[in-house]
Amino acid sequence: MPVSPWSASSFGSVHRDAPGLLREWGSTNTMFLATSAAGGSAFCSATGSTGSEYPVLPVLTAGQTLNIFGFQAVAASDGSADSKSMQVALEVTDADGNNGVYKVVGGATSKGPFFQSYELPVKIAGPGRVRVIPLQLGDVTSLNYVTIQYIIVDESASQTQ
Amino acid sequence: MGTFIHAILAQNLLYNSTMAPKVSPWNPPRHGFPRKDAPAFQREWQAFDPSAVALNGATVQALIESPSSTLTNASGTIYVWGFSFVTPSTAARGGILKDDDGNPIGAAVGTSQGPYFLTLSTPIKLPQNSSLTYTKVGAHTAGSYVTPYYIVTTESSEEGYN
Repeated sequence: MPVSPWSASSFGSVHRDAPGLLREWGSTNTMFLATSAAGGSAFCSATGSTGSEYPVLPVLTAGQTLNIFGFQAVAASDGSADSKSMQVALEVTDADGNNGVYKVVGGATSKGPFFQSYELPVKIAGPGRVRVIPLQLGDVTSLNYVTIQYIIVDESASQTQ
Repeated sequence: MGTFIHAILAQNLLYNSTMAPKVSPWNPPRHGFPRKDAPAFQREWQAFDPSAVALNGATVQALIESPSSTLTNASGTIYVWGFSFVTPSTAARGGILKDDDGNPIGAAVGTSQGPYFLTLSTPIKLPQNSSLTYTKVGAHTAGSYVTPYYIVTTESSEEGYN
């Protein structure tokens, strides 16, 4: 009997109860962030530095989850001194931007990028804001980029976005 | 002859009772609990909720607290699915991840030129109620972080689907 990711199973919503099934049924969207700005890059923030090459997603609302399957960071700094690497944090706050927590920290130079895919998704439940903030910019900032593969699920409606 | 056959049968019974796996990976137990008996099933039922830990200078730092200390009247098990280590230092920095008994489960070493990152397809299971710590080797530069990717199952979730 086929299992539909869009309808509730006998034990509840598929996405809510079995987030791993997103691997089987979903495909990821990609968010491409330029992290050169000191204020960081908005992701699901609605406000903040946005760069110019991507849209900003709305703040996660109650019932929504952001499921991150991959996180990559690349930079052009040569890393020849301690101050010349780029370091970025995936920060999650509550809906009004307070009480920030670093969920993941990545670092990169031109000789060592950071590229991670996750066997299970990093799940961030709304309401909340998500952004990538630089902890250290490095000396060449024109090629500081973070790429995130994600699926947003509205669990209250069992729909993906 | 009969005694001999009985001896062989008894030996086989002893062998089977001591060597047979408690849970067969090929025959899911009819009354088992997949997240407890088959940890890889966490891939279907769980998600990560990681938190990056800044390495602040202490030789030993807690990365994940014991489930029994963070939950009231509960015990549980930590499953480590991976970890990453980043540092802005041009010199190599690193350390060892250990359980409560001091048993190492892995080491991470990196520089600004090459961070360390790993996720596993099958988790590392810590002893019940054990925490996860990081023991640094040598000095660390400010801005060094470890991010563990893990699942904590508690008794209630190990026994059912909550």
